[in-house]
Amino acid sequence: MNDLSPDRAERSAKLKGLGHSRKRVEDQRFTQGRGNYIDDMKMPDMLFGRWQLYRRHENA
Amino acid sequence: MTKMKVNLTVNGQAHEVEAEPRQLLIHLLREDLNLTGPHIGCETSHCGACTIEMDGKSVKACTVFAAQAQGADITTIEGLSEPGTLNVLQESFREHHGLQCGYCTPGMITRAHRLLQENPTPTEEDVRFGMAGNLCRCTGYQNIVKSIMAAATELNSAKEAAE
Repeated sequence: MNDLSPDRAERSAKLKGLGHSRKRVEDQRFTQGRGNYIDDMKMPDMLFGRWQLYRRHENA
Repeated sequence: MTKMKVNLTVNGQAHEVEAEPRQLLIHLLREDLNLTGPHIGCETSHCGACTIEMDGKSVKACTVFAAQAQGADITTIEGLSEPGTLNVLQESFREHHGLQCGYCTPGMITRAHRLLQENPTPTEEDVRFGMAGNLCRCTGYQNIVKSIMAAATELNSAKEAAE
């Protein structure tokens, strides 16, 4: 930000919500470690597995 | 394989867990204690997604065997703030867009938390050096550094106001 740019708070007030970044809703849980990614899920009797799939022809 | 008993304190709560000698601490935390905040990114201690605090030090939980945590005092991202609230660092990451997909974020914040204990008034270079063990593929680090610097300033001014 250069010296000409107005104070952030001042700019926000003038723009009334337009033209400046907003806080993301999902960041609340991401920053607390409650993202619940697929690897974080746990189901009854869940099994872990891994498949290795190879193509028979390149770029097919 | 014979299991061994591991006693440890996690986020202020005492636990006794049975672990195989080969079991890694990150798996004990995620699978036995259901603390899925610390993530498994690389499982080779490169990426820092599994960073936790163990006896006052930042530790990558995929580099430590569960058995090595016998008697340890551990803090994970879940223990850094009250449920449903954000601490200064967490709020700062949110405010300054220090995350995008969020996968590295628990490790980043846990590490940054310790970094600011070690050095409450870091320069940008100190932050970059201190966070070098944590990788992020989304942000390009600019906003992470910005978040931590802003959090440091805020924590210091709160400390000054209290004095």
